[in-house]
Amino acid sequence: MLKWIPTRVPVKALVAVLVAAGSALAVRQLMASDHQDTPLVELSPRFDVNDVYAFPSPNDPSKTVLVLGTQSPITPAGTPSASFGTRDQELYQIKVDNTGDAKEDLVFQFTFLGRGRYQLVTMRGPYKPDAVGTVNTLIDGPRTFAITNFVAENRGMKLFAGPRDDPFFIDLEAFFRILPDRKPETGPLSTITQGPLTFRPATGPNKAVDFLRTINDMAIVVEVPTAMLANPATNGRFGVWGTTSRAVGR
Amino acid sequence: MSHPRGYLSSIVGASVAFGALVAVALVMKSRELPTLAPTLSREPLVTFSATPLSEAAIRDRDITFYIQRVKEDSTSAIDRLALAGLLYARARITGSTSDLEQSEMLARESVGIREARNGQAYEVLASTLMARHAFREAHAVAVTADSLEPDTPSHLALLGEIELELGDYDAAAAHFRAVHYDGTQFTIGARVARWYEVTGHVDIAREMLRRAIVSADRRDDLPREQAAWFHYRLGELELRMGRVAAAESSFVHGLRKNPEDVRILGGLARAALARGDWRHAADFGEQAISIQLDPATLGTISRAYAALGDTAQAARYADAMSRSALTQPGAIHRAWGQFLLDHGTPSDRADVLRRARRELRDRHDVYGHDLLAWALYRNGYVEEAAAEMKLALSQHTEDTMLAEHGRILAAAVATQ
Repeated sequence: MLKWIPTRVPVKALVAVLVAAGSALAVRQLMASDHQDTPLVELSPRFDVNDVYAFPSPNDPSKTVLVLGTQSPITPAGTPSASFGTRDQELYQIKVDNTGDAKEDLVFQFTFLGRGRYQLVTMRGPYKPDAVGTVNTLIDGPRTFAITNFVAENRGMKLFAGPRDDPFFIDLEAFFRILPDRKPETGPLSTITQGPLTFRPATGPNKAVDFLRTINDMAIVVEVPTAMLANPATNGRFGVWGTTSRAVGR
Repeated sequence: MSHPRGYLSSIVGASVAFGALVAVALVMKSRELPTLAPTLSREPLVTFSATPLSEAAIRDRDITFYIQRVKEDSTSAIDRLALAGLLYARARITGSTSDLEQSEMLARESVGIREARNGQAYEVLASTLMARHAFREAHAVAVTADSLEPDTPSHLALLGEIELELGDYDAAAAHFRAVHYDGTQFTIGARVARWYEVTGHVDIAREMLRRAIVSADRRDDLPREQAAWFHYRLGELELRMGRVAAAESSFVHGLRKNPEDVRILGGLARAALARGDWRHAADFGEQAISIQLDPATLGTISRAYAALGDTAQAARYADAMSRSALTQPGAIHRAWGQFLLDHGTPSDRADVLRRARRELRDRHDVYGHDLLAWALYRNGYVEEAAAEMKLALSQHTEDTMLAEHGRILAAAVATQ
């Protein structure tokens, strides 16, 4: 059986989504971001998760939108030829913990077939996973199919996979002055701890510059009824994170 | 208002997409798997031009894109690094010295703006310096990168690679042995392979290159030039070993990845020459120089035409080779030098000898010693040549050219 192993040891990003008790579900928007954060994903950009977002649907308050952003930064010229890793290589997942134990209770699994701009997308879930943790297998059950760049609707869910503007904002050069990323364990840079906690201002002559301006990513976006995710036993609180995994066994 | 071609593209795209979805749904149904028939939007959310961009076009547009970003943010080390990398990549393919100079300048600016977490900028800077044979300065840059981010495999491999070029084999061995190579970093694998090859461990080098090829071939997101480069390296190794058929096989695989790869076409020309197929040697060579002029390939074509009996063409290409090689400032390319020693005028041979002596002041690698040995021999200094040849063979490098030079010099000494 084809299995997938994670491309990053720590879970990529954890967002807590609070669903208020009662019929009117209020979801607080949260997000997490970390671009190109390990040497492995620098070598294999398709496996890089840059963002996970969860927020209430702007069109329907009873629904939640989950976003798994990958492969940023993609330049405008590179965007038309960008694609998702295919099923024989890569599994994309959005995982949901709705019991508060930091283990996934529900997963969405996304696989892709074909090359080029129109890939076949298969979504499984939200289902209880066969295996919890870092080695995962595909779950049996009804699937939703779509084509990249098109929006598909099914079972009250909407699915989109394709290029989007990377919505994160970061003044990256200022960030590196505050806290060097990937600080080495030895050598002169290892002694650097933290610089002044100041970003550049939003306005003025020396204003902050968004590194991700006009940069795209390859996003998987699902709009799902919040009731499919929330667990009344935990007052509707649930956590969301995203993973990419490399296929093994073939 | 949308562009008509874009509109057409979206219609075509939508038709293709719907067709694919229906086909898959039918297949799934026939297998009686649980399926759900989704409603697909009538139009794609994202549309693109109907004509996909070539890698070269994407790179050119990316260069324009980053030039603008560099202008917008005078403090951005990362945009300067990205632009330097793109210009360096273009220079590798086109041979543009202007791109190389700009790449070097931008890499310098990048490390000037930020030292921390900027190892790639040091690597690009060192690579541009190596490209113009400024090996000592490249080494100093690599040392700085290694001191800032110790034990980084790519920094260690870069140091080792430069030390191989400089002929500092003990230092290269220390750095290559310190590389933690897990098999996935195929660019590092290719550098380590070269070390094994030069130091007489061809079987290990060949195996490492084959593994690097397998790793690179698994990737469908690598630029074609990069994917082809590993096949080229293996082909070159086989050619140096005298395994012409294996070399050609590797070159052909590389050419499938990148059909207009100048280096591979040049390699195929030399392989054809090695097996006496003069016509193909000339054809491949002319194909290569029609894309990018390389003096070494001019030399190959000249030899091919000479063997075919077309002395006029042979002389024309030899003259072009001599002019382009000897008008280059600085150190002489080893392959160009070898050709001029064997096929040039007495004046060319004296010029090569002078340059080979000068280059050995900074570099003491086996191929530098070999060039000097051969230059000395071809200029009539047999004993001095034999002494140099001993140094050229000191690392037990397996190379048909070195072996042949060694044999000829040994015979020359014996007859004196």
